Amino acid sequence: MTDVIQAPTKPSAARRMLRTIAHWPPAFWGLIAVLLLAAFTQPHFLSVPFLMILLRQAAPLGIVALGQTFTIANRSLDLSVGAVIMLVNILVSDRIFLGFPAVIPISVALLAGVAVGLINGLLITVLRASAVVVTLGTASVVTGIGYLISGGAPGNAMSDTIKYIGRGRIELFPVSGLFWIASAIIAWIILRKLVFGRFIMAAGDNPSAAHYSGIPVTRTLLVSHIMSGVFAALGGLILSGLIGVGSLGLGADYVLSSIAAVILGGAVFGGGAGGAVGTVLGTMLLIMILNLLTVFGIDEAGKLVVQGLVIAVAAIIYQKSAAR
Amino acid sequence: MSDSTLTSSATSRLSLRDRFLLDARWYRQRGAALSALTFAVIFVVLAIALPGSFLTGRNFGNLLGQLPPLFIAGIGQTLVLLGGGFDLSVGSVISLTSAILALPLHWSATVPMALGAAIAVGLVNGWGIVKIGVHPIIMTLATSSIVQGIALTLLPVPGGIAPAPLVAMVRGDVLGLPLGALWVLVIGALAIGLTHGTGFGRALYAVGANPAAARLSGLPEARIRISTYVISASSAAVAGMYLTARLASSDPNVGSALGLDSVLAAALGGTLLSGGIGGPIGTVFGVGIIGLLNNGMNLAGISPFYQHIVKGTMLIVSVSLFRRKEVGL
Repeated sequence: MTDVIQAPTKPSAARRMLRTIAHWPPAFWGLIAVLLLAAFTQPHFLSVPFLMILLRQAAPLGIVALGQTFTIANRSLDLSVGAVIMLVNILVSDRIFLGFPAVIPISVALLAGVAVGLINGLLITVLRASAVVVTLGTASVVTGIGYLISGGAPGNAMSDTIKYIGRGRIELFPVSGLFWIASAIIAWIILRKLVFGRFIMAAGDNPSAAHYSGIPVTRTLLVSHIMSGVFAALGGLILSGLIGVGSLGLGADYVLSSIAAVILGGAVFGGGAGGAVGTVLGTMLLIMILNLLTVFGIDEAGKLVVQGLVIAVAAIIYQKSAAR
Repeated sequence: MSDSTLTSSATSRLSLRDRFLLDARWYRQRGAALSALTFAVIFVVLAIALPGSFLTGRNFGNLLGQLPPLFIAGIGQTLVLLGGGFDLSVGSVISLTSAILALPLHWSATVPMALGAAIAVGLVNGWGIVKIGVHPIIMTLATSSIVQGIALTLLPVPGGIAPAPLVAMVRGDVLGLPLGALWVLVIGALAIGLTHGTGFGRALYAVGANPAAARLSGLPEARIRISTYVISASSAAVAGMYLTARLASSDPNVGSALGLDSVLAAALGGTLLSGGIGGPIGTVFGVGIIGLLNNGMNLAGISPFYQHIVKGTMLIVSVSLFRRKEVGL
């Protein structure tokens, strides 16, 4: 009888470590594999200046993906991030802001992100419409508004401050990389250290259970979508600075890539899993793979295939290991 | 009478007409009635506002020629949605079909190849979603990217000549009716017959409404859900063939807008994204609404920028009309 109620023996240190490692996101192992591959085939790939270029290129996607982490961990999805990036790009390069300090266009851009996130969140929570369709719809509306503001010909009156945020460097280190790190720390604190992060995970894992436990499920989802909108706007701001001009259709490929980065980072719909660190690793892995493919001379079409395969394989591996 | 899926032995003795009426009276079709009404209102408004350009035989000929690809893809998407799934790869399969038709081979080789490729995509989607348990949005997003990449590899830039027999099948008219209308009639009849006239259709509604209950009742739940993805991909291939033939040339990006429009058509027709409610009858009107609005805005000379806004707003309104139980995806 005593055997039955005996507490399970504490696993050994090595076993605990193995268990922790097994929970690291797929992106971690992928990143190691890709770095090894790069080290043996393209050693210059791992030189510090080149890595800094990669970092500057990865920062906008990294920030957008951090926002997407909130919605996916919350069992939702934001397909409007591409449209937000496009709108922000049109806004900050508009002639209206000529002569104003940079803080004005930056605030307008971030407010636009908040507004789109808030509208998404309200439609999803109040009307209980499907997040996929709502964010597709708002993406279409926001794209149309962007076209209307630009009149079909986006301006190139971008403030130098925004260009500095996107392109500037401190010594070798890109300024946009600092913004990415800061965003990641904020996202990590919210998701891992604040009660709100617990709410997101609980609501994402089992919405009914969370609701009956007294967790404000709808308010949590609303805030998750606002977070996604703000991060998308910040990512769009940095991408705009990197490009330096207004450009129609900017950001369209960020929808798929941001979801890919989050999934590579270990989050799945309804898993109540995933986090800032995983998404950062997922973004790094994705950018590494895409750049390695360029080095190997693979064109855009091949990259689409590889990106799709990476998402599918990561999702299948995750499902297989979760089922066990 | 209250639930056609539970009285399958009784309903199977009914005639096709009775069964159809049973389904049509059913509350699942309430969305179709609403979208038929919307369609009628838009039609009347356009007829009053633009009598000179809208109410012409030439314009209707154009409309009937333009709508079949969206209609065919939308029907496939409707079946996937009815089964509780979601297919984002429709647009890429249309593009892949167009690219395959441009291969320097005889059409008797490329047409079966295109269909075979589509069926393969559908099977992979179904396998990943149903057997492995990957979320439909993630799975079809991934295959969509892969398939689009393959299409661009096969045909990097638009070009090629569409097979002559296919072109003959979309151009011209029979008995004064454009051939496009014939495609809509045949495929619409097949889809409505399949969902409302067969055991597969009844099982599909049951699976979409409650997969676990359907499985416990002995329905081949997994096979039905997988087959919806295969049907969706195959109909996307047919849509791609029609589109290629109509343009008389191939384009590896031709389907990119149709993937989302197919969801819009189904949603406007009252098919719920949570499964089990709606059907192809509503999608007919959903496609009609999209077609009339595009057509009307073009005729009225409204900037395409506004068309984005109108389309997005319509999509949001159409899914907001029916409240779901769950919040989120």
